[in-house]
Amino acid sequence: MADVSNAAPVQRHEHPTAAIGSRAVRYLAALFVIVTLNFLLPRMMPGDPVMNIVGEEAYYGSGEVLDALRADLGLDEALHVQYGRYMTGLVTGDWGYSYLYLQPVRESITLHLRWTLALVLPSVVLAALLAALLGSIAAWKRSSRTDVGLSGAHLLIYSMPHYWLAMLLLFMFSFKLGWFPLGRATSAGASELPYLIDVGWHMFLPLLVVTAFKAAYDFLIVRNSVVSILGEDYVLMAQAKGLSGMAVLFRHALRNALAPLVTVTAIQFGMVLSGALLVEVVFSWPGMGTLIYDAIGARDYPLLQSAFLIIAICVLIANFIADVLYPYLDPRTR
Amino acid sequence: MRLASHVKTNRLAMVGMIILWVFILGAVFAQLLMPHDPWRHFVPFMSPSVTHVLGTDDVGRDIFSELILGARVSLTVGFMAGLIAVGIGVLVGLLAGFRRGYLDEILMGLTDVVLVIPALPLVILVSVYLGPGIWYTILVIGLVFWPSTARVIRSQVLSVRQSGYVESARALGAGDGWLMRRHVLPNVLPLILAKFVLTVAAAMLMEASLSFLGLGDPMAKSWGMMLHYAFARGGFIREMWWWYVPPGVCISLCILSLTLISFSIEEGSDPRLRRALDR
Amino acid sequence: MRILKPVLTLLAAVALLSSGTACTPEQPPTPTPDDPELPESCALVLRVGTTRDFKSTSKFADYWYGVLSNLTTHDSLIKLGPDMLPTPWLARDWTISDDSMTFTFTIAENATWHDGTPLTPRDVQFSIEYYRDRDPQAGWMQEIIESVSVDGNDVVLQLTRPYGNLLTEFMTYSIVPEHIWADVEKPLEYQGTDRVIGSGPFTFVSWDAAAGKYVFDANEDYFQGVPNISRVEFHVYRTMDALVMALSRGEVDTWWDYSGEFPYTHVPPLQDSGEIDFATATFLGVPAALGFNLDEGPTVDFDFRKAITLAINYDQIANLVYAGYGTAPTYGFVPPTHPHFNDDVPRIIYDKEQAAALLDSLGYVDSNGDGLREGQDGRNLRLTLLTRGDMPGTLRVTEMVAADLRAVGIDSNVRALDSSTWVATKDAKDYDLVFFRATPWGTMMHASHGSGYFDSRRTGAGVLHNLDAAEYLDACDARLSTALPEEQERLDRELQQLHYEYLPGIALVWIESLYPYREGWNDWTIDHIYGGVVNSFSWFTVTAD
Repeated sequence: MADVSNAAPVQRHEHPTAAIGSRAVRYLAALFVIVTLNFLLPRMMPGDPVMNIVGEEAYYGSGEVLDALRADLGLDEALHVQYGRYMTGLVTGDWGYSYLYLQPVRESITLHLRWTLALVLPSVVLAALLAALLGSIAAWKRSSRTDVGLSGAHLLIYSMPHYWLAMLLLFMFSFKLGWFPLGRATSAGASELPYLIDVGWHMFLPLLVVTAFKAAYDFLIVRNSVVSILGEDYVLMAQAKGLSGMAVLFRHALRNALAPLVTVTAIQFGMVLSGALLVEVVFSWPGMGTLIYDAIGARDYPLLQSAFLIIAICVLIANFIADVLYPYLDPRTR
Repeated sequence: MRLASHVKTNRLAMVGMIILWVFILGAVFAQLLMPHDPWRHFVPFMSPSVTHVLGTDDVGRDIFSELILGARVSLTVGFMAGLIAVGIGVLVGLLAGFRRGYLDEILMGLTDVVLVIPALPLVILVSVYLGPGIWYTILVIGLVFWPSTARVIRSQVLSVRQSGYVESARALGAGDGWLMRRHVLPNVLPLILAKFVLTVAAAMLMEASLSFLGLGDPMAKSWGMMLHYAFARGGFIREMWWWYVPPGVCISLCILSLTLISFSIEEGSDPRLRRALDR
Repeated sequence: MRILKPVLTLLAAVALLSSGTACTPEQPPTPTPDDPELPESCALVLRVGTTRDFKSTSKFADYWYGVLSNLTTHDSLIKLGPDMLPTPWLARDWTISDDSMTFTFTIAENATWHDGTPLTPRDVQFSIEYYRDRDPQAGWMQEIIESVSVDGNDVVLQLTRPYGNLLTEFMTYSIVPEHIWADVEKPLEYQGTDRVIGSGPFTFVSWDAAAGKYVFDANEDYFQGVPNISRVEFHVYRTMDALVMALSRGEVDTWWDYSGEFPYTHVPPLQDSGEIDFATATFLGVPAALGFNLDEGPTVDFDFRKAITLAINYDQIANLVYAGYGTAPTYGFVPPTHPHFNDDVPRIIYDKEQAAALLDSLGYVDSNGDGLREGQDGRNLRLTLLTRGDMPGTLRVTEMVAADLRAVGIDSNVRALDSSTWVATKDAKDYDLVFFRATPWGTMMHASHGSGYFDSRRTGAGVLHNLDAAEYLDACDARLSTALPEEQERLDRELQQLHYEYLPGIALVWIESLYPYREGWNDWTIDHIYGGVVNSFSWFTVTAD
């Protein structure tokens, strides 16, 4: 998801260590609000989760059966009681039972989180590497045909709806050419090495899409910061001192460009995580995106709460790390 | 204004402006440009022809006419949501920057919270809660995309406040209102504009994503909704590229033009601002 | 880009290599003699694609697996035959007392559970009691069933009141082993691996959630003989596009769904492939239906409802959304596939002029010339149309009805909601017109012929429960309390007539369903209720070249 407008990392010109303390407090407050929102938002939605369990044709008389089911799921209690149980459950690790996936929520989440991370982590790393390489090349050869080509291509990818590109690729490479499967994460039955190959084969296209979008964003950042660094005095000095172009690029420019790249990657991690949702839906990838999408449809409160919470915590941690790292990485504040 | 002249001299920005104007004009004069009534049923699943440049969809509607009407819906969503988001963001940023203290802490804390909640799942959740409807979509997107603007504006206000001449003006008894008009607004205006343009792009993408998931307004023919129907009603599997490629291209071109424009605003403004936008 | 190239080439090579080894596209029907688990002779594997939302192997908690298990691992006492009549299954015979209050089922003697334990009448007794006490879907049993007893090979049900629809109801409840479920307090949450054990024609082999694939093997000891197919796999796809691709690429042999029609939009690509044949059958349910709010608003007036029904262009819906496989319905709601279809009930005619005249006579006139009629209060007539946002076909129908209404001067406010919100809004009666669908089973439930959707005393996620006219409720009660065939026929016809006379809702279209399957497979049996060619009867008739 090219969620460009919210990509701004946290950065304020305050004293690093003092700032970290106050930031930590603020993050804890944010966490509390998120946890509470997580609890309230799904419950504010219209619709009764019990209806989804019994199916569209079930006759439930005057409703005693539904009441029993509701009681079974703890949905009949007052909101504050449910809230209390939810909070203690969070701390003790009892995240409730998913009536959609029919297993403890923690199991559903770990299962799906694993698939999402398998998709997102390599994408983030690959994208950063690709972007660092291509971005600095483009910046070095600024305004050349290479730069225009690379920048243009990345801008174009950056501008596309993710799912649309995913659909086009799925159609081209899976359906038309038959090189890749039509979706999901495995073909079942294999184990060990064949299993890994099988997963890699299923993963190729979704990975490509997520990487492409992350790389497009990273590329623009790397290119911009390398361009601005190349104009700084000390780089010009180094060049004047006779250092070769490549040495200047990699020793000075790229190293400095890594700072914004690392922070943006940290900030974006959660975004990419939630942004993989649409790509997952297109490729039937059994990750968090699919999980959240289904859980919203079925009003699976415990599952929704925990899924949101996990993603929010990931973003929170990433933000915090970026906050802490930024003053040390940014050459301008160092 | 310096900014305008910069946009003129920057070739890429010009390209962006031209693309955007084509779409805006298309949206405004949709009634004149549409060759057919976009609600009229012809023969379904027709291939492109002279009478139907992009063929017809699953219920026989002229795709080209729908595409033109789609510009109106998609751009409206983008611009309205962008306005709401930037409006809230500027208000929060200015308040937090000027008042400091508890208000600042609370507002920035709120900003952090909204920033941290993953946008797409939140928008999905709230859309399901409110139900589909173009104004709901606008409202939801607007309510989710304001925090980054608030942050940037706040830090800009802080740095303007800290500059020597403002501090001396303050010492001479200048009020907040005067400071805002005289020093802060001129400084943050290009920033607000750039943020606005970026937010419009994000809102358009978000609308397209929501519609794709089937959470858009089915009665509003946005590009996202066209894609939704193309995928849900067999356009994809029947290889009707003239149905599912044009809306995607239109969305991409709009986002591209908006991005190019925001970049040029960024480059045309002063370096301090550029740093603020980098983040 | 120069650096990228070798990397991409390498990855593509790995992908190609693995596509050659890990998943060779196979030409069905597939003899797989090298598979150790399958008997070498005449091993026939049927691979079925579905887009339904399978999550687990819990037949109690997972609605869709519950349906699937009734086709494969589990048996019910009786089944609805292809001829729409009750057919013996686990119960090889049954008798009904004259007062329709005592049902006696004679249980097949040679049935066994997949773990080798014999299936006894006691298991049947246990199952019925278990559903009654523990399954939220079987709440009706608590009101109806007085006692269940075993008498030799017979299981005798004593009812609290006459109940004519018991046989139909029991077609969907499969018998479960007492030795597994006796100690399970919460069947919805039971995680034991033995929850998949039944007595059906197939035994459960595996479920791979990440791959979305169920595998079932033929039950060699099945009491009705060994199925023609030695293995059946169900492959779950998230989208119809992916499923159609899989069908045309030969990854699956056919399609299964319960209560959904194969989308006509996706038929031509399969026809073009030249490898897919289609079986056709009249759909038992109603894929698109329109219900009225009978409690408040302008739709309370019968003539107003009548005007609405006249304003809709049914042929256009049948032709555009259902690709010409649809027909305009009658006012009786259910299609002619149903036994006791009442052909005296008139077909609904699209007649804009008559609709306009009727609206005029009701005082809804366009007096300010804006093209929209105003009510007595001078405000524009604007109806709230409640529909499902997650069903694109239904949305298209809604669009068309909205346009048809606009043509007779009625404005509409379309509320397209996801299923959960739709249910809540529908139950709050927060609509003028509601778009819904009737599943095959749904049209047979309650007093049959769609009455389950309209009887105001019913409850349920998919039903409208909007009609409380005494005449209608009495007819339902009479139908429910008789098991006499001629009495049932009379009441079935009456119910259809009453749908015409009270107009609680109408079908918008009846359809011919298409069931795609790969060439080379023959002799399918079509089952109207459990979804086309993949059903309990086909297991014993289907053959492959």
